[in-house]
Amino acid sequence: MHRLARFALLVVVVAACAYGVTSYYTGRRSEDQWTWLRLEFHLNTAQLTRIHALHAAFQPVCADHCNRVAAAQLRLTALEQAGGKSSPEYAATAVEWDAIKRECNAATLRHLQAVAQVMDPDQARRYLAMMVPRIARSDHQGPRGVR
Amino acid sequence: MTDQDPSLSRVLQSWRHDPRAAPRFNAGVWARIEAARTAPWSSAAIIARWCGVPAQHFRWALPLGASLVLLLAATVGAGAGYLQTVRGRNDRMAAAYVQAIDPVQMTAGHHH
Repeated sequence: MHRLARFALLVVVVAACAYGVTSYYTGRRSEDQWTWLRLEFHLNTAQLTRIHALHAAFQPVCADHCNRVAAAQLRLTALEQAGGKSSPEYAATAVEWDAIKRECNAATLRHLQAVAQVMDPDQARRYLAMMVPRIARSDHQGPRGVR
Repeated sequence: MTDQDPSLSRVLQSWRHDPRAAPRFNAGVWARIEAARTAPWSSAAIIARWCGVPAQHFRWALPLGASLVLLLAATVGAGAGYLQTVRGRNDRMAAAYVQAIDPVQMTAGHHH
């Protein structure tokens, strides 16, 4: 029994060492997002080039949305700090912030779907399953700059 | 036949049993003790008996079994480490990727 216990301990130690070494060496590999995207979704050069182009085309749209979201958030923060949280202006800005946010989410979802269309069907499904919940998650949160 | 039977009592009193010593009895006992002491493969002997094969053919069974268990432990550990690292990296990369294209998340990052 004593020998069996020692062997069981050895098994645990071996498994833990293998886990640690693999985690260490796998985790050391650093990648930029494009490399990760290419490897994770098995993109060929043509697909990657097309997705690059889609991202480049989306940048101005994204920047415009960013500015509008930031402006609405700043107005909300300023109104909140001025104690006007119950004012009609604050309510109107909150409604506007919400509308911008929905517009941003819709645009981002459209962009993700456009990128997915470039991928192979299986990879596209995986891509959307991985990315869409992250967009949708932010849809249920309150105005972050104000909190 | 009772205890009071004098003829039976006489016979019993005169009866002696002198068993013949087994040849090499002591040597045999010590040989078996030594074999049990030096054989680390008693589990293998059980398997061998179960299979109907001489135990000495199974000397390798226990070390081999132990080696296989250790190999399995290493494989399971390495597999778990790999899967968890890949899952964690995918999670991080996907979050960073979405944050880079989602204005709501981007501005939230700047204002915190």
